Amino acid sequence: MIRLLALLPLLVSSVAFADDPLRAVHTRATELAARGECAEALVAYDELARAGVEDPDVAYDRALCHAQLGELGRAIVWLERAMRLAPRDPEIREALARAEAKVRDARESEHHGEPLAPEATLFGTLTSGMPASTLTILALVFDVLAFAALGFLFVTRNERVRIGLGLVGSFSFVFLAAMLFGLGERLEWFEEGRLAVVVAPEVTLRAGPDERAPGRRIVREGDRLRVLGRRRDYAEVRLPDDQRGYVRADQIEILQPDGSD
Amino acid sequence: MPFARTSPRTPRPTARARARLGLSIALIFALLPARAALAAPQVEVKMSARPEIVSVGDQVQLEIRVDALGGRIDRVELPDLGAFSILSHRRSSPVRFQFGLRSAAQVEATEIHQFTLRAELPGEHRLAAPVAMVEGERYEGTPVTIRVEGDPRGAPDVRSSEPPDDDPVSTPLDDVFDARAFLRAKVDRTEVYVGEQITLEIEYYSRLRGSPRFSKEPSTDGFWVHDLLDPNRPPPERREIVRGVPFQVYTVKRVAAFPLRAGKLDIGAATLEIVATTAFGFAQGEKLVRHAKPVTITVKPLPNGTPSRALVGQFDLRANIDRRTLRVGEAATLEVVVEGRGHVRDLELGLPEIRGLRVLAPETETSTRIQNGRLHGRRVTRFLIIAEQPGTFRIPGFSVPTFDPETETSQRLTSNAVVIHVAGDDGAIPDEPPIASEPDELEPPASDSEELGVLRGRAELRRRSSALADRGTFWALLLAPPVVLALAFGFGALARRRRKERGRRERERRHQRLLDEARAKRREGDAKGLYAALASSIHAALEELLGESTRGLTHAEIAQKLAAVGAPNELVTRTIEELEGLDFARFAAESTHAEEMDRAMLRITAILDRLDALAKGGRA
Repeated sequence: MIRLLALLPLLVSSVAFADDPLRAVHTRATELAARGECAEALVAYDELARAGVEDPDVAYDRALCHAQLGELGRAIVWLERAMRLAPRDPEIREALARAEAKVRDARESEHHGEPLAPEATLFGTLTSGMPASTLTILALVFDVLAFAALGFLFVTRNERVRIGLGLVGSFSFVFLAAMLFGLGERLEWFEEGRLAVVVAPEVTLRAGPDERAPGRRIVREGDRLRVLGRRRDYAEVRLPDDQRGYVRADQIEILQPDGSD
Repeated sequence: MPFARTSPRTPRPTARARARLGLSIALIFALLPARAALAAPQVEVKMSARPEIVSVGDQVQLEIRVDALGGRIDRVELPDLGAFSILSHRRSSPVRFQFGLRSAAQVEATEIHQFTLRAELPGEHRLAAPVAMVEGERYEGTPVTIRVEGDPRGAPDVRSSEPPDDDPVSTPLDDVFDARAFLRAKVDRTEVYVGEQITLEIEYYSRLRGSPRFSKEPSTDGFWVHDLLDPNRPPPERREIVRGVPFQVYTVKRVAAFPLRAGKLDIGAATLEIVATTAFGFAQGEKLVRHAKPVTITVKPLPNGTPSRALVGQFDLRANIDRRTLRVGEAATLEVVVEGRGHVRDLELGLPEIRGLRVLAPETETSTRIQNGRLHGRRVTRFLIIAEQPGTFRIPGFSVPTFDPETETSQRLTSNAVVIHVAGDDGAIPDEPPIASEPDELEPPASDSEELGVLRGRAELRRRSSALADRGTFWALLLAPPVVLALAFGFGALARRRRKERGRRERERRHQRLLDEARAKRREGDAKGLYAALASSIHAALEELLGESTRGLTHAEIAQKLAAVGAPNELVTRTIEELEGLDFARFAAESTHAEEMDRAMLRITAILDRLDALAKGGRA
């Protein structure tokens, strides 16, 4: 027992400094990125991602590295991820807008159409400035408020209190619904499949999961689509205009990896 | 002649001698107090201050003097000097001897305390009278009042606690103040543009002797920083009165910080450890830890239209070449200098390919200097240009975008184009128009990443966590309030039902008890008791049905209430008749007949059943 107590500070310190190796990797990634050695920096960023780091600043820096390498599609993916983690960060928002503008300019110069993107929904837009965690907490708060007001409404006899409870309950239900819809939008509850971005310059949308399957359409870097499933090396996708098909899985990247916000 | 024997003559005091003796004794006793008075020391206790009206920070000479003639000074009790700093204290106690012509030598003892004080707090400070203990006796001097006025000269080394309006922004005093020592972060401004300089100072306010050491350096995440303090020339310390407490203030950190990104950034959080020491530098063993609270800076992005790679500040750009005429194979150095107030960052300049000239990779040299607390940067880029073909070559001017946060204007600095003449082996320069490179102006290369933003380099390294809303806990918590509400309603309804059931059973038991009582009276042949019990049964049933006591009601009122709860007229009439009959029967002789009692019981039981049915909500 005494030995265990003696080891306690060591255990505590080892837990406290468990981040140090990651910190070293991050420092290395930053130094490489600052020197313009972005390919090497991305290896370090991959290491951080494998270790479970999901940080808006790291995602942002990584996006800049992809942009440096001319991978605007991947830059958009990482900026989207950064923005989901820190929706109120103006710099990330601005960088994403610039990346999308560059994609648009590049397409214009090559006489391609506008990038494909799903239409923004009302609740998605209203709640876009809030992280999912905030939406979740607000939903729970309004849930408790709404049902508490309803419960008290049944037991109280005072007319003024009843009017107050009625108002509180009604507004709480409305806000609860808004938060849940916002969360649903953010976490893609209402949509079939998961949102992804095309990261290769040109990708053929095929009728089947095979190289020999007839091509239906070309999608380009920066286009957004929904991944409905996987078949071998192909992903079954649906475009924002509802056209379905298969693309090579390594040519797209899902915005929100499984189980993360 | 016989001699008469005589005894030796003893002189007998005569009356005159006796009187003389008595007078002498009386004189001795009379003089004793005077003698005692002559032996008591003469003590004088004096205290004086010079001057008595001073300003904060001024010095005061205070002297406390005790003169004791004919006595020894045991001790001197000095007044409290808490409102002053004691700069020096000297104590002297000369002893002198006095010799008189008719008296013995007398000792004169003196004790002098001389203080040099520094006034710290404004106000009237009354120094209590000093006390001297001489030969066990207490002697008190007179108090002295020293008036300390506020610093009329606005002495630079002593300031009040509240900074004037134009003072730099500091962390709120409430957050950090400590009467012994505290740290305070201070910035010269809280709203800046990306790349604009902020000067951060960490000041250490102390009333302790000790050696401070940063255990956590001031936080500067999101900033590029440059130290402004010269380690060989630390800034002068000063005195400052904060909340009435005089502190020695040391600037322990001063940096120029340049924000790298827009948003709200915190700067200046630091931890200082102080090991308290004695006046001779020995450690007292006490270690204090003080934290500086950060200051939040609002960093504005560069205005629209200003490239993110623009230099922020006031800069000059010029380009010079050391030789304008070369021969083939010779080299010239083109030097491009960007300098000015601000951070030159990693400005990269490049030359395009020019046919006939070979440009080697440039060398860069960056230097900084501090002027009036502002960082001035200088970046020199040197291109070595080797002439490979004869001809006249035009190297276009360089162009660097800048943003001046003071005037909030963006501009583009340009240098002049440079023309080089290259002679061939024969020394002749071909008479051709200069070969110019494209474009006409050379800008620092902008990569995609630069156009998107500036590398942050700092991160909390947050770990991946699944969204709370995707976990079962969220749904459990979300469903908890409606489930709790439904359970509350369910339990409430159940409780009400059980209460009702219990009431019903209670009623039945009571009816049964009254009927049993009536039957007992019948068996005993007690007609009066029987009819009274039956009347009670009817009243009990009516009370159950009407929810109020019917004992005090008239029969007409009972009839009215029964009709109101929906009892059929026939039942109302029968009930009232039975009640009247029961009242009557208790006093009528024929009512004592056994048959009559049995019939009454049957009738009343039937009425009770119908009233109970009505009470349960059924049909009577």
